[in-house]
Amino acid sequence: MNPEPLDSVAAPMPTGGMRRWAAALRRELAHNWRIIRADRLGSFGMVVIVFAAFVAVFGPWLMPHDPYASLRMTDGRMAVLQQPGAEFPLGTTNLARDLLSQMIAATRTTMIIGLVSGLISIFIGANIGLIAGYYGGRVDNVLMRLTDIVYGMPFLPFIIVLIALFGRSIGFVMLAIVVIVWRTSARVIRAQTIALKQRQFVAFARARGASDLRIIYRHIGPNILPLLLLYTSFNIAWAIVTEASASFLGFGDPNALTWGGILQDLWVSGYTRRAWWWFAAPSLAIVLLVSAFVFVSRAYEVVANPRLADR
Amino acid sequence: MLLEARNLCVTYRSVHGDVRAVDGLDLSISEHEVFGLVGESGCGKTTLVKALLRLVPAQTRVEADVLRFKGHNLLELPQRRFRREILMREIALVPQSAQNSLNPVQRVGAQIVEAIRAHSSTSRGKAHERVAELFDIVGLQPELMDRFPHEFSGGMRQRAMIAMALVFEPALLVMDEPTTGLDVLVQERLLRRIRAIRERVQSSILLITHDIGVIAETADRVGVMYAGRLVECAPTLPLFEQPWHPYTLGLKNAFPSILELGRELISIPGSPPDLSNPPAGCGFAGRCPFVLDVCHATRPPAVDVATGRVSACTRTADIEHIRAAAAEKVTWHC
Repeated sequence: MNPEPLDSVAAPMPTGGMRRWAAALRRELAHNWRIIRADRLGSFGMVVIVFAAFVAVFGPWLMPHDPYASLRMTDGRMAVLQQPGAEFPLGTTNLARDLLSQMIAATRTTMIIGLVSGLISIFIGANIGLIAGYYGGRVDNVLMRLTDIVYGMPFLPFIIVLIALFGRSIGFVMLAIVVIVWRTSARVIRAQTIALKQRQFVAFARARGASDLRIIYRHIGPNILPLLLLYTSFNIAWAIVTEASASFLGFGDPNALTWGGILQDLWVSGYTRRAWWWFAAPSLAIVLLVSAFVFVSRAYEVVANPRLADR
Repeated sequence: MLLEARNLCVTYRSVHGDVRAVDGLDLSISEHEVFGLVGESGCGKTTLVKALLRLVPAQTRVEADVLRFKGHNLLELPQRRFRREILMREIALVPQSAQNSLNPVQRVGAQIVEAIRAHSSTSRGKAHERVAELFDIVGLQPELMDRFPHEFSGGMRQRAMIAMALVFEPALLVMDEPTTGLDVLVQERLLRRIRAIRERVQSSILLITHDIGVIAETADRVGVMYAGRLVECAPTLPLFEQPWHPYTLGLKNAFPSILELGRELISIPGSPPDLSNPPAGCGFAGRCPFVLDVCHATRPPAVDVATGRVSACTRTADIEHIRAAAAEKVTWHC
């Protein structure tokens, strides 16, 4: 029998684990903060994301008007197609709605769609990539052929069919995005997993009796973290762009305001040439938020791949 | 007997045909013994380790008449039980190239804590203290637990691997080339450490190396491996004083001895046989200066040549003559 060598050790302080966790968390946060701070574009991206998140959370309290209300100016006339000014900072629409309030309301929907479908798609993509790459052989073959099939699915026809079948709703837009977006992350993470599983420390983990799942999630997983972060933000960015294009083409949820939806309202109203402010605000917001996610991921990528820092 | 292998064969499958890397090996290790295994590169040392730990590729055939460890039949033990009860707890590996055997993105201490918790229900705090204790045993400051592997030097990493292997004080510690890639001073310190550890824990050690000096300093008993077989097996001192196998004689010639300063080193000409097309007779016949026709035809069985000593050579009767001739350079390079 093997003696239990651990019994001889004195009992630890009960709070030791908690305190260590808190310390580790603080260290990680400080570390991440340094990474972001070191990269100017990364800091800019972080500011944009934090700002957008703030607007998304506190939107209802920040909106100066009801986004769907037709507003009047102080002299009593309807505020139809007003240029940005003191009264309406981002101008108004042809139905005399305040664009600032619409933008704020749309931020929440856009952020939710971006984050939820971005995170779900990276979750699916990462797991499929890890499992296909680690097990190889038949498992790999089945999963990667599935990925190939998804690669063959064009986004717009897919969402048109989906919407035609189930109706226009945020849920199905997100579903369509998730179904399409995971494919790239799955391929990239599979490739990285195949490279990592050849490494000595994986073989040694096996020699210690580690199970397959433990090797996948505890030993290989943390090593693909930089890639995972990168593709998380790519997927979020891609989801935001995709949602905007779907909404712009009229496949969005008619009951939810999104940036793409605001652009579609403009297109439908026919004032595209006259009301420059009406397309400037949502377009800029989309470009800013999408590039913010890319900049932040790039700041992390520099850490993972120092050669990029020279550029 | 802690570990007993009889007629162990490991065959790799490849598109170019089968390669029998371990070919009818007999091996036994008793409790609290340091067994050294020497042999040149490609003689099957590492394959033997992989077979013992079930790390060989899926297509590989591992066969044996007997393969027992602590009363378990390793040939039939289910993989799940082997993984949970034997690996790490009973047989722990100190891997070759410790440089790359730690997860680069996890703190060294955390990796060992995780290994402990994966194999036992130990609280995080207790596991942490156990690691600190082990770090002390292998001569690392416990503060180093919170460092990443790249912050360790080669010797420190090697010692961390030994600490990890010692966690459950396994019955058998397998050290695969523990000193490779370390300079002689670090090597010496590590060997001293291994000897000290031996005093503190009850584990047996299977020490695998191509460095005869390491074996001579550490092992109780030595097996000399050639072309997938054990050609000679003996207690350490007698083995080096009076080798019974021509290959051991050749090996001894090729290594400098502190007792015979200025002696010219004699290498063994030729190279080991191609194991995908193994010779019918003795594996060493192609390079042996004392070869007879019978050596090429039939494989000599391992026979007891003295108490506790085994040699697999047809010419054991002529050993006095062979030993005398082997000391001359002309015998090997004519």
